[in-house]
Amino acid sequence: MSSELPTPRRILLAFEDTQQVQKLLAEAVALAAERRAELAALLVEDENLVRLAALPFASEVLRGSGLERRLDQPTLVRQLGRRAERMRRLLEQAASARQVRTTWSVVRRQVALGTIEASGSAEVILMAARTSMSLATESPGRQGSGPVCVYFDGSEAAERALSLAQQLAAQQGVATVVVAPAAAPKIVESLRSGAASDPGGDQSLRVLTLAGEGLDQIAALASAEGARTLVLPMPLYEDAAATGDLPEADATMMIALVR
Amino acid sequence: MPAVNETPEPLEIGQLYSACDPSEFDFETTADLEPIELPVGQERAVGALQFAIRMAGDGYNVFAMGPPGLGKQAAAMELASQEAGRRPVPSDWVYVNDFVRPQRPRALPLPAGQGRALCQSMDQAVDDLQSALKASFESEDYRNRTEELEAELKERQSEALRTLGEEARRHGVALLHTPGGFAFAPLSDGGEVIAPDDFAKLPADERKRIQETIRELQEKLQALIRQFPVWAREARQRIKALNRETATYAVGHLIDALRTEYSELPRVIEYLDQVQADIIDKVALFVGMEEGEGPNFPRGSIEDPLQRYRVNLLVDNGGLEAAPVVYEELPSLANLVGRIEHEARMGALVTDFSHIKAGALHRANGGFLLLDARDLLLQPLAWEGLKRALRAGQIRIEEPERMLGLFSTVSLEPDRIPLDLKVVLLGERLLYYLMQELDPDFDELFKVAADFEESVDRDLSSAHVHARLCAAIVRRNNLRPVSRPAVSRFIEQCARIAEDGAKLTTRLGHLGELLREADHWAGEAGRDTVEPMDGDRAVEQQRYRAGRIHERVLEQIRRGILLIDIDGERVGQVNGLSVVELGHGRFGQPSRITARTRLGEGEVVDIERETELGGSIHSKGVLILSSFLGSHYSPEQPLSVSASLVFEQSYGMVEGDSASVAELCALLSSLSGLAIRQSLAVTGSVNQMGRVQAIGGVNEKIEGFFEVCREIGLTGEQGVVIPASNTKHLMLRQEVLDAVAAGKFRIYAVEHVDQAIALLTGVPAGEPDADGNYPVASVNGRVRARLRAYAEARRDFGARASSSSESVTDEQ
Repeated sequence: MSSELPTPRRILLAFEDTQQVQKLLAEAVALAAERRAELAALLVEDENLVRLAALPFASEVLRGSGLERRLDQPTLVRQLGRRAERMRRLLEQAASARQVRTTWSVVRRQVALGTIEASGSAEVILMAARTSMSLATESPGRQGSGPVCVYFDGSEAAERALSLAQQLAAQQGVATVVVAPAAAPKIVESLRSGAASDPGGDQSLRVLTLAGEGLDQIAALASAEGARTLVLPMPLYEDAAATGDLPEADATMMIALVR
Repeated sequence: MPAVNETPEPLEIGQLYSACDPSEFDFETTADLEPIELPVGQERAVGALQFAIRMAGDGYNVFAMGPPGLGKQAAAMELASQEAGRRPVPSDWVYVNDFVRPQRPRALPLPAGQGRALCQSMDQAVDDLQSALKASFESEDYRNRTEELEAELKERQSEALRTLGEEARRHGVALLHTPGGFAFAPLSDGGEVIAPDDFAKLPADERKRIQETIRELQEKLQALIRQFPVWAREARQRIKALNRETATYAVGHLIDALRTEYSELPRVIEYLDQVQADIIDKVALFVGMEEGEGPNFPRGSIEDPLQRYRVNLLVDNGGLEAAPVVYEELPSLANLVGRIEHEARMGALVTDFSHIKAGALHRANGGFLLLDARDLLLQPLAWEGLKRALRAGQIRIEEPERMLGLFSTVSLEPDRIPLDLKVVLLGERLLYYLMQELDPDFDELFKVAADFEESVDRDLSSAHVHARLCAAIVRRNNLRPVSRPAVSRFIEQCARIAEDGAKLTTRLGHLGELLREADHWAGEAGRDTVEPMDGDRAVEQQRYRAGRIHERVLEQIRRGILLIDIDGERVGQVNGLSVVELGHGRFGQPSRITARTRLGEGEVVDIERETELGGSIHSKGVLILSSFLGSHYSPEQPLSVSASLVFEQSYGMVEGDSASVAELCALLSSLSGLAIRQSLAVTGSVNQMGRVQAIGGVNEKIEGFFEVCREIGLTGEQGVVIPASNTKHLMLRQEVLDAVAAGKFRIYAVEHVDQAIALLTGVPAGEPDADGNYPVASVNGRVRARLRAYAEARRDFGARASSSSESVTDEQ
């Protein structure tokens, strides 16, 4: 059904500070270990934030209390530095346990731009956007094990994206949800028949169709499915970034881009 | 018996030992006999026990009293077991958690056997509930609904922030995420945050407008953020309600099954209702842990969060077929009323309802509890704890540490359990009388006393019953059968232990020891049955093992260190006899008693009493001697003698009046000037009329003097003078009987001191004539003459002293 994905030598993990950064790092390390790839971690800091801190009236409203606090550049830089160091240690911890080679860098750009610029030779790019507010309610049964969602438009990059999505789904023990454009019925049919006819195939693979092909629609559908990972062909993402149509991702969702 | 004025003849050999004739029995060995379990000759005590055991009503507990070895415990156990068989098996008791007040565990009664069933049911239910609840809470439906609620909240928050962000955008301001929260930043036309230099170049009005806009936006953001916890709380409430709904559905059918099973037991149903409510409330305890990889707490550990739903089986009567009969060997407070154990956790002692342990009162509830009174009184607080439980009719678990104020951490106050049982206390008479005297509650709580006899009359019937007792002991201890002649020998030994040839001891402890040791010696000799020589050896070996001190005493007499004459004659000196008891050893020992007399004012000085080495009974005996001397020899004039009495070479306590005949004889010898035969020893007490009265330990005393004579040399003149009333007590050892039979030793029985003094001096005591005068040469005549002489001398001395005093006055 899908072509074999060549083993990537380099995986790029681009992320901002998220509340689930530890889990994100662990998953990225696991993928890198399985693929015997180097993991290039890229912490993207928002450059606008540093600019704001230089303004004389800059202040922030604290997330936990709603109180206002003066924001100045030296303090902000120190905070960002401490945060980066903390995340680097988390990565080292996770990587040494799996014997994965890592690199670490920090850039001050917008996430999307920073990621694309830094991707270089990486064949898989993992991205995690910042979370919004957390939901601190007691929810005993919640396991946080949503499916892996992948967009498949029949391109070669999409073939590799599908392969990675299935690999991630198997790794996490979750289902794969394939999103295909409704305008390409042959592709949809091929996917469905391939899933049904494969005797040893993954019975938890589902195929959904999408009327449009905008990245915002794909992200919304993945979010509605409760997906924790969205795998996309790289060209699709690059086009959206170039036109400024990048949607706001789900708080807990990781984006995997396949070149 | 001869008249008191006649010198008695030695006792016949047949009077010295009451043999048991084996031909009176019709069995060959004890294997042919039907064992008897209840003690013999204890009709009064057994009747009292039966009465108390069957009598309904408060306080009809019983104290079985008597020395050890009478079979009190066996009798009480047998009678209690018989009565228990007629009573129903009492309830099981369990302790369960009180979910509202965990420090007050609740006690639930269940029909016998159902306590364990409830325990197992609840254990199973906890396991099943864990699976059922996990399944419900991991179901697609539940997950969808919770995620919906979470997403709703998230969306509400995100939407609010997005709306605020859009409003800010409209004013040329961006909403940014900072490490600690949010911040508003003015944007340039290019969509980036404006640089400080560029901002400074803006017109003042514009700068002011931007800052005011940001101020307004910040106020809105602050208001929004303050709303977030409220929204989160609302979401939590809705999720909680969902949890309750899900849990109720999952739990309901499992608890319903238990309700059906225990529908006849309303208190269990009430408990199950509380269990269900608590599980729903604390559902996270069940679903918060992964199956097989959850917290690895041992079942029953206080750290096991599901422990709260398990059942502590306190009393399990499921295996009983009758009411319980319990003997508690260590009746401490905790072993009686139960205890609350604690676990050390993080340096603190913690506990819960599952750490409540039953005591003997719990186990015996509905039946009978046997306790040793001495053991009970030796345990601190135990007697008071037992009384409280009996008075209140309920068992309250008390912690001694708390009662003494040594322990002030939070502990438990479990429900009290109703108490309905009979207590049988086993102990010695002294304890019974002391408790009755000193404890005002005792009579109210122990209304019945079962007083066990120490001996029974000896006849053919009782001998046969004792033979069956031997058979019971043999069977119970798996000993070799005892032959008929050996049984006879053991019965004779029972008479010896009873210190009476006409009685048999009921102290079966002694008999049991002899039978077991005889069995041992029979085994050593390679015999299949116990024969008389095995019984004799058992007795001899017991005496030998305990005989070290006795042998040292004999050695000292033989070497002349302890001065005892066994031949010749001495004035004012006589051989008295005493019994020494040390541990297992009991032997007779002769003592030299001497008396000295002179003119005086009628006092007899007991040197033992003056030196505080004489007990009160001994002193009483000596005072009786003064009275006898005065009334018998000097009724019409003052007793003008001063006498002193002493036990020579005695450095310990002298107690008892069994030497008073000997002391009187020494006094009469001193007064009469007639010498006493040292080949005889004397024992017996005397009254004011000179009648000789029975004493204890007559066999040991005779044997004690015999052994001294045997050590130094039997002459055929030696013997012992005993009270005639002690003749029936004689059960002398075979070697003494052999010596008597060979004419080498004699036993004389006397009724009056005149007979004793005649035997000792070889001079008739003398009968008074019509005027009350004794023959001059008789002992009594000599004594009276000496006392008259003393009286006259005293009168003359008094007259001279008076005349001399008057002369001095006249001169003045």
